[in-house]
Amino acid sequence: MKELLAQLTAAWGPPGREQAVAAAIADLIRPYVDEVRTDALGNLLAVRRPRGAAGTGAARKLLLVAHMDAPGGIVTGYTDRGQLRFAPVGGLSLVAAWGQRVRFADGRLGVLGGEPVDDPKEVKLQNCWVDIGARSREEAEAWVRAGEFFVLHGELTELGSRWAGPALDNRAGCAAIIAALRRLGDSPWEVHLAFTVQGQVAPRGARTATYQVRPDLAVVVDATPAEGKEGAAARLGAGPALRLKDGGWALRPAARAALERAAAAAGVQWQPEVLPTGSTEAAGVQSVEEGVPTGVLGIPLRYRGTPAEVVDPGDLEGAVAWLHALMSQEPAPELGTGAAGGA
Amino acid sequence: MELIDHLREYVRRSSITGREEGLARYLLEAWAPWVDEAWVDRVGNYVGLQRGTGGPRVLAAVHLDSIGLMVTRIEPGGFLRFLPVGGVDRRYLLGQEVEVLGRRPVPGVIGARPPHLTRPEEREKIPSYEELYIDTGLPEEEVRQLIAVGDPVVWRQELVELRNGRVAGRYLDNRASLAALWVALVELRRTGHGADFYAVGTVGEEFGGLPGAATAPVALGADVVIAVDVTFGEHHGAKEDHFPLDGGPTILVGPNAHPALARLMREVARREGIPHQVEVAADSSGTDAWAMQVAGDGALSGVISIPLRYMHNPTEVVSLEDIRQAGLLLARVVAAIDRAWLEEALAG
Repeated sequence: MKELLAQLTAAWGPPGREQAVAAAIADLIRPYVDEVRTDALGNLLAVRRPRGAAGTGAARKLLLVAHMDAPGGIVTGYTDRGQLRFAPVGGLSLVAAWGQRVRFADGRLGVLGGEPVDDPKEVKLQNCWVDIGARSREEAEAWVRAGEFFVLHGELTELGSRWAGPALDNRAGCAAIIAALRRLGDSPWEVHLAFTVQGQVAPRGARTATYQVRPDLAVVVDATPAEGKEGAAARLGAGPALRLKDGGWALRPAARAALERAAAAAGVQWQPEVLPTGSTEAAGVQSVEEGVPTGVLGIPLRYRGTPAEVVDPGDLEGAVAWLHALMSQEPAPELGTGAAGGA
Repeated sequence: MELIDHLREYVRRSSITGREEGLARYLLEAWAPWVDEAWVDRVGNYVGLQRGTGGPRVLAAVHLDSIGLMVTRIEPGGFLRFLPVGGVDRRYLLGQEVEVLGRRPVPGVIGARPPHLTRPEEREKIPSYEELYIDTGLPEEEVRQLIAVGDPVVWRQELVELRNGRVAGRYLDNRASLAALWVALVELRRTGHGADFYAVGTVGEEFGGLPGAATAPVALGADVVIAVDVTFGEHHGAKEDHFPLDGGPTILVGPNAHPALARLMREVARREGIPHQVEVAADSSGTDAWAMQVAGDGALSGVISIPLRYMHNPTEVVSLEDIRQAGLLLARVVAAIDRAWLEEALAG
């Protein structure tokens, strides 16, 4: 799991520029699926047809969703001294990124910094820049063009028994799906995987991916903030989280029943999560076409949006076991016929 | 059963956002005499179909869900912390009787320190969620057996008959409209109609991105969508944006209502002598119509609303006559919709 996570966190992929992550994931999953393709938006979509004693009739469709993108920035201009002005893209924490290394698509490094400040509250976009070591504006313009993206730079490191690194939100979610897929045997489902674009921005890629699949059940796998003070927040190391409610979405009984049954089958210790704010792609997924029963499986994560996000291997392992059980088990009766009654 | 009996049954069944299945399943039985077919769809919407003699598909949506609370923590002593689900007004939570929907329903009250034990400045403030808790009276061990994090919490007030044909109680937003939809079903069954009429109880209007309204028109292929909801009744002391009780339902005019449908509603109301009021919304109507209008290919949308006092308060007040007139207006409008009208409306 650590190698998988290291490989995924090393891939470069700010929102809207996820191609390298998609290519890495495509190579990892190809041996285990029947089809892999990329859609117009850049989502990586894969299908694994049912294995084992197949029932009669068309198999039900299970869709697992994880966004691939990670917070970063986009260059908007230059200072006279050769630093880069930028705009954050997708949940970049300026305070956390201040003084950290950033990386452009070609591997060029920069440092996110700015005017000296005494109080972190004074760290504002207006007094921040990315320093690429250029001695002049001309040099900076020659090295990096306006419109180029960067991500937070760092590598996966061991932190006691835990792991710290950039982009774990949501490469940890991608890794959990990939690991569960690798050990999957018989499955009654037609399993669809969607590694989506622009999940840090809004439920954009996930919407179009769901539209293409029209699943009977969807599960969004995403990093979730650990140790929050409000509501019932997840704790790191206490197992994967089942999200019951967040800032704009509530879990409904059909999806909940399917997820709880899978957790029980796999003996996964999970934690309930109730949040006053925040969101995942679930709100977008659930309202596609005739509607999709949708659940959110959260991987607790500390220090979101920084180059040193922290996850617990036990939580990840729990998520893998949970997803594996979900893909292996018969579709829950609560999902109904999938058809709109007698209409 | 009379109108008020129906309303009482709807109010008796809690239906907090995310847990609407009890009310949806109740409607499968309760409305069976008036529909040709009924089912609960994959997002949890109730759908009842009254087949017409031939015509467009008309969908009327009434949201089944209502606001409430969700348990976030069980603290030493068995006290429960919570967060709101939907647009809860914190001002009235203190001193409220509630019911926690655990393994079995558990009554409770929302407590805080008494005036004697608070500082004067504290008494001037609305307590935050961190300060409020639910006291069920049960020992902690029993609370932990019965209640889990994520369990819903609902208000306890049943329907109260006031004088003058008015009623008060919890969740009249939007059970009042549910009663109006029943009136329309009864009326349409009596008069007959050309359009296929889908009476839909939607999930998730109060909170969570309108999943019911966003999906039902797509699943049903609706040509015309009408949301029936509540609007601001006249409030003593308030001067603007309100509609007198007993003045009849409101008909929405604005970008969320197709002009041809709004015009038809007003013509029908005038012709039938149904008291009504015009409500203007320059933006979203704040109802299911906002999502329904643009679901799938989109549909002709309209909104009929029932004036209601003290919205999102556990003692909302409506007039039974307004409910009856809203149902009547809906029925007459549905009956007036045929293919020729739809084509003309679409042609502009």
